[in-house]
Amino acid sequence: MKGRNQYILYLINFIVFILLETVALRLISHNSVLQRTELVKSISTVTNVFSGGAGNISRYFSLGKVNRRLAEENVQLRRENDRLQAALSDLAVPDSLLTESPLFDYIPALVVSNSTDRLHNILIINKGKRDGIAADMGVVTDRGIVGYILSAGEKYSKVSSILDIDNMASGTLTGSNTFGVIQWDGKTARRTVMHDIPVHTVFSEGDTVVSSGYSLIYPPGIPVGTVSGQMLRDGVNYDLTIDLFEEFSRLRQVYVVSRRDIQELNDLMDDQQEKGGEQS
Amino acid sequence: MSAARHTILALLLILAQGALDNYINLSVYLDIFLCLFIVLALPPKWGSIPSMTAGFVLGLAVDILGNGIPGMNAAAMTAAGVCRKGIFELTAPKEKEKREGIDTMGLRNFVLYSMPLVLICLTVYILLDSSGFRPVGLCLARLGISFVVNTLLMAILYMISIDRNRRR
Repeated sequence: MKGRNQYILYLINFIVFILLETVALRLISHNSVLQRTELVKSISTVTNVFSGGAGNISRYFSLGKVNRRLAEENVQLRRENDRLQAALSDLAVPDSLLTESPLFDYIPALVVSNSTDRLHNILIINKGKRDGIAADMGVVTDRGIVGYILSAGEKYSKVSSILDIDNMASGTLTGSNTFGVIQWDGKTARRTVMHDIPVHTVFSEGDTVVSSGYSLIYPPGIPVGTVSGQMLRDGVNYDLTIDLFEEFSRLRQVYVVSRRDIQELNDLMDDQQEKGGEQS
Repeated sequence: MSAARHTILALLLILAQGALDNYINLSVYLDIFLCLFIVLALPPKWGSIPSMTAGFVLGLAVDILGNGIPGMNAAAMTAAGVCRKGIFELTAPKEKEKREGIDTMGLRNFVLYSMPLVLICLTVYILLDSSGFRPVGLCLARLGISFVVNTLLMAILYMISIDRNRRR
């Protein structure tokens, strides 16, 4: 108690001292130009140091907000990109008639749990059903395909990572426009394998692989990685080693991709399967 | 030192300081702080706030009387006032009866007590007067000379003003 009183007394002394010195300095600055200039200079130096420090601290604490804003901006840009790509593919149709909204919706999410050291790696993201997430939606970043939604809870969703030996995605070699199947071989989180590339395909190491768009899950053109090796399989196809752009061990911000016409496409595919069954 | 004695001494020193500032041209290397003695002679039981306030008011009075820049002496003597109690605690003799006031502490201890306070007061004053510490050589010389002279003056004032009966 005594120590606390002593502390309060020191504090009051300090405040009174600062108060009296401030009054004295104000008097000086009011009555002498030279002293005023020097005082203002000294005060601005001190305040600049403090405001600089305070600015850095507040910037640090607002990083989360900045990140959210950037993620939202990124979503807008992706929509715009999709719209422009759709417009490019329908060049014959005037822009005024292209009233169709973008094909894909993007929902920004944060990875809350991630694994890269198993054969069946999964991720948990902080968005769920209440945010519009449903099973079989794609998960991507601007640096690659991440996986697809395995199951969606109310607030969180489970994602089957592309680093799962059973997970497959369709990819395109940009140089030759050849399609293949991307499937992880379980060896390292930095690489994956692209199967079924015909032997006559012309390609070279360093060629980029992107998502093909022949999937109901991932939008086309998402970069995946670059070719770093090849292996002839069965004498007719190459297996290409792909160095992934995305570092899965540092994955944080992802986007869940929701295709607007997924129901229609699923219905079509179901019809086709039913017809196939009847014929057989 | 009794309150009446202290008040009379304070008035005399303020007048003397005013006269000194107005009518006597001392060297640029010398600043005299007669009124600092009033702060030094305040009862030891006074806390920092009364000491600071006394220093501020005295300094302001000197500034006004001496036609200087208002606030310079006030700032310097406030700084001395805030440190007064702490320095007294450090420099006063250990015996309780000798810690009752400056009268009983003896000249040697008084000089030890006054030296840091003179230095604080002068440093703040010169710092403000020369807007920093430029030119350094001049400021250091001014500080050194003023420090020696003011310490001597405080010792002389002590010898003149103390209650000799009480000292015995």
